[in-house]
Amino acid sequence: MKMMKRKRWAALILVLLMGIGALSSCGGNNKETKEKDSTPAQTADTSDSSGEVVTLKWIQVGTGMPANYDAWLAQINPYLEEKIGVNVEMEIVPWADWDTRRSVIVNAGDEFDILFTDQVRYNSEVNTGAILDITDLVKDATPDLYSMIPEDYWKAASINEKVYAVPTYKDSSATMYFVWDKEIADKYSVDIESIQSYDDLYTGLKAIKDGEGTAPYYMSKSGANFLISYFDQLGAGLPSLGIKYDDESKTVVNPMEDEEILKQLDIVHKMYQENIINGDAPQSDDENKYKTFFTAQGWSGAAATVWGPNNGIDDCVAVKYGDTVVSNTSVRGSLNTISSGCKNPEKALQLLELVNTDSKVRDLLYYGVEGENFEYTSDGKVTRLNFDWEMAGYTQGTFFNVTQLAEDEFNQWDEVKELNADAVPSVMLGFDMDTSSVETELANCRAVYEKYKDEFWTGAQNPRELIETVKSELDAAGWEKIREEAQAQVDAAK
Amino acid sequence: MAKAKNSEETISKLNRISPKTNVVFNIITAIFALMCVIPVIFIFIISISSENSIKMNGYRFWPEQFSAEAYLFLLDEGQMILRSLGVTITVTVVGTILGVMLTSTMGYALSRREFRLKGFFTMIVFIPMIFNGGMISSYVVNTQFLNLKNSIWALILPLCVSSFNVVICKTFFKTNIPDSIVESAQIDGANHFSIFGLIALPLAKPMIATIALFLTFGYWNDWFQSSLYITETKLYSMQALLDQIQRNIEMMANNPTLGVTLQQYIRNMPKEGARMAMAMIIIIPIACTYPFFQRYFITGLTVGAVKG
Amino acid sequence: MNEGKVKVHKAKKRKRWSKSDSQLTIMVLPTTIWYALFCFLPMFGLIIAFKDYRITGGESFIYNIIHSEWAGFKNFEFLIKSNDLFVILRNTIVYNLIFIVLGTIFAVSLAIMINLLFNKRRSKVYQTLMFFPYFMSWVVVAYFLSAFINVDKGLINNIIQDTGGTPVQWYMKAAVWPFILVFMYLWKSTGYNMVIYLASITSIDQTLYEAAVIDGANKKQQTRYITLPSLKNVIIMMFILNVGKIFYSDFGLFYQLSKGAKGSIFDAVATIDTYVFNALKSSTPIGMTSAATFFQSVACCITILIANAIVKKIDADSAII
Repeated sequence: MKMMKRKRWAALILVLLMGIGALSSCGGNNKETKEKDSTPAQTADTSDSSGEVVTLKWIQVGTGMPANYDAWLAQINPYLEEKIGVNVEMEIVPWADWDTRRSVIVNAGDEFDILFTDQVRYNSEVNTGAILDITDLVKDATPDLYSMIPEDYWKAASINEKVYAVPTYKDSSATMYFVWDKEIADKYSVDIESIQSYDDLYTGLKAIKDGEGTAPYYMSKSGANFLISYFDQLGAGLPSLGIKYDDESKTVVNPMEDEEILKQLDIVHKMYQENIINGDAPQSDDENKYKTFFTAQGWSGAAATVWGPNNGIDDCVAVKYGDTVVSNTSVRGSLNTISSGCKNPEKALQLLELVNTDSKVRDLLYYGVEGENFEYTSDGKVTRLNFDWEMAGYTQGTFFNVTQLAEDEFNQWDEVKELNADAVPSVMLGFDMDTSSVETELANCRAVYEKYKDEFWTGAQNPRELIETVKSELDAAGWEKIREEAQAQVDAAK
Repeated sequence: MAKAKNSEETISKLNRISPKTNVVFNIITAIFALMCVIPVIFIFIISISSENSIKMNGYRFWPEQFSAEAYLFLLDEGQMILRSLGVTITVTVVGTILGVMLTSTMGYALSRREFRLKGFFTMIVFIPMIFNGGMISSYVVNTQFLNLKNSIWALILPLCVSSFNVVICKTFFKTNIPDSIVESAQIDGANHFSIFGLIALPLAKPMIATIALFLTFGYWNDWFQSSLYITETKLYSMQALLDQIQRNIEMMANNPTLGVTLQQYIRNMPKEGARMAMAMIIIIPIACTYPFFQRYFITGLTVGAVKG
Repeated sequence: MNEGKVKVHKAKKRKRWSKSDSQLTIMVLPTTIWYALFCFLPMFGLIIAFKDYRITGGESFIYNIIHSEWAGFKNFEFLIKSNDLFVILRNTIVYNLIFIVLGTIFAVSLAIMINLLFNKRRSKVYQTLMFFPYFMSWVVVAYFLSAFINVDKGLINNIIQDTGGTPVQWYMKAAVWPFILVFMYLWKSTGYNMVIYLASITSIDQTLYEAAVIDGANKKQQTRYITLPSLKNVIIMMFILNVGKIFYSDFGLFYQLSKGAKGSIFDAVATIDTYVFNALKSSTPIGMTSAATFFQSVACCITILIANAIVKKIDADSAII
């Protein structure tokens, strides 16, 4: 009995301890996190009376938080403090978590100052009210920033004529390329420079297929969907709705029905059936493996710097296909927005201005820690010491003030500038549709598009037949209603 | 005593299935077990194939070229992986113990028919099984109200109790601890705490082992909590770390429109072999802890014994 | 004397608050606190399904919710109006039913078999091996499946070609997918599902078996008359719990294995979760996702209550509520 009594008390104490443990774990964290809060990297709550240093929080996507983050802060913060009285705190969200974390950060009201975004989310984030309107602010507070980016890009980044983001001035126009393994092409006497349409492509690739036996054209599940990039999607986020970039009459159509596109897809379908395109195209991801031929967006210099090395092609040549188009979509590939709850918007803009104009700041963001990740050479260029830097350069600011790499013989950014300058602007540049009245139909139409897009763009099914199915399902999902609404808004804006 | 044991043995020996049936059962279970393990062997083989042979020939059961490069790559990241392993183990052990205690107490109370508030607490357990406030409101509660951001408790607490486990517990206690035993113990002057600690728990070893197993495996596999609440790499769990690398690659592979500038990063990503090596590190250690839990699936003390 | 006292206790069981009740209440306090903090507090998020969520800069989440306008059932429209509603509902429910029935049969049968094997060490090895699939993420499993059914490089098509046939695009053939999905589900979860049944079997009172042997029962009869009835409670409990999830599907299983649950195999593979994911993945508004989940929750609630009520009628002790 005595034994039982003691054990009984033991059990009771155990239960009480559990309770206390559960409670204190919640309370105890207050202490823990409060300590963390008082470390140098403070949130934007710190007072901003003139003269005091303001800490800005910038959220970007990348591989992850850099291992040498503290060393990096030690290099960049003093410089920033000196120039504009600002300290920066970065949060680099890994690619993998980007979708979930963003949704949470934006919707849950987490504090941040600058947030990287892209065309997929920009429109809806502005509509929910999470982003600050900087139309006037950017012209008043940071005139240098405003003038260095062309008018067209500001237009493309605006919604309802208000500017909500600072676009990243880089390869903001879209150019498509046919990328070849020149060695194999030469072997079969294929004149790659002259191939400018899928018809010509077919003849050339067939020769290679007959000779080599394997499928030369590698397609991932995105297939030939770049063909649709010549249509402006009006910010609705539905690829089967748009206006052709050079259509002066501004008629809203379903790009998938466009005769030009269907003609090209007929050939794609033929290539798929004859095994010139890899049979698992509709399921394939874009992998780095050897490809004799593929399509990609970028600039021709990338053949030597990126496409070739990534895919194991020794002699890689890219041939331009079609026009270079600048549209809302192409510009919005990289945008930096300011939170509508930001307490120091001028300072935030000033930071962005500095990043886009000052090479030292730009290099630190792009390459990493000086001395650990990169070094300056004697003639003012940069050599990379390792490839570990986890931040993604394209999310931060323009490429044009990034110091060139010592090993680059030519400045590939020059070519990008040229492409940008030659770009044909879409007739709908700067226009975004207000989708609030058709959200339901849009959701269901998107579901239909998602259902068929892989097999449509890779030619796995006959496009002429498939488009009929797609059309009827889109109609049933309310596509006509969206089209009417879009056309009405487009006409009203003329 | 010896005689009793012998007769027990004789009975159990006599009570076996026929040798023929034994062979049949062996074959059936062996086939299924084989089907389960072959993919793992396959993954292992890919992890020791050279990157080149994968690029050229795709996946093969017998690769052209063997290489340890995948594991060497991981060795480079060794320190970080070991630290994340430490985090995972801590989280798993603490979480499992906490979870077992919280779950079994609730399960026990709910199994007592005379408990006046049984209906009320059953609702408390049942409703969260069906209705969920959503990821964002959980995030808001956990970070703004409970201050769990970047704390190891964010990895432990949200997962330690699941209504599923509570129901299993309750059903088990209800079936195996009849009211009569509890009542006779109460007559002897015991209260529920001691009944719980001295009678119920010892009898419930297999069930506790089951719940502990579910909890352990759940914690081991979890990467979602880290992705939501942890930004300091020091606090990542191992699954989170390795899985993140995997999902980074997928994200990039599925978004070619992100542009050429992204392609540079792909060059630094670990290749196929390394990804398979990571999968191996995730699968093998934990699967091998299963025997540890199995020990408790023994024919333990039975109600009959206690009756005596 | 004792019998009398026990009877009296039973008659009074609901009339007074007893010491026993206090003890039990204290016992469940920690767990209740956990539920309050981690389950009930976040439940205010359910309102989002009925609101048009807008953000006012710098304000807290709760403020934003309170100040957003009511949207009635608007957020639910896209799901209800969808043309594919019938297909996705049918797939979700039917697959789940098949999973539950086949899953239980497999898990129970294997558990009993393993328990009866002579060599205990070997049976432990089998159990461990059967657990491996649980730890493989669906992405990795999809790799493995692809190695079999890939149109160019897959094992099956290679065999077909070697024997003179034409390779088949399995990812576009709807007819095979129900089999593939059911097989993969059983492969991945049987090991895990078995655990509960194994634990329960080992808890069965051995004296029952001994008595049966003395009565001359053979093994098959013992299994039928002792093992299975003892497992009855557990089987029913698992059944009800699984039915309570019948409107949800394992996203990884349906989406990753089929590479997106789209195109030619949509009708065979799409479930509510894959549909919602595809429809909403390019937009931020959280109202619609919340509405879809709410819909699933309510549907599951109704089903589980019905299932529980039916079970209660047949055998009051087995119900879980």
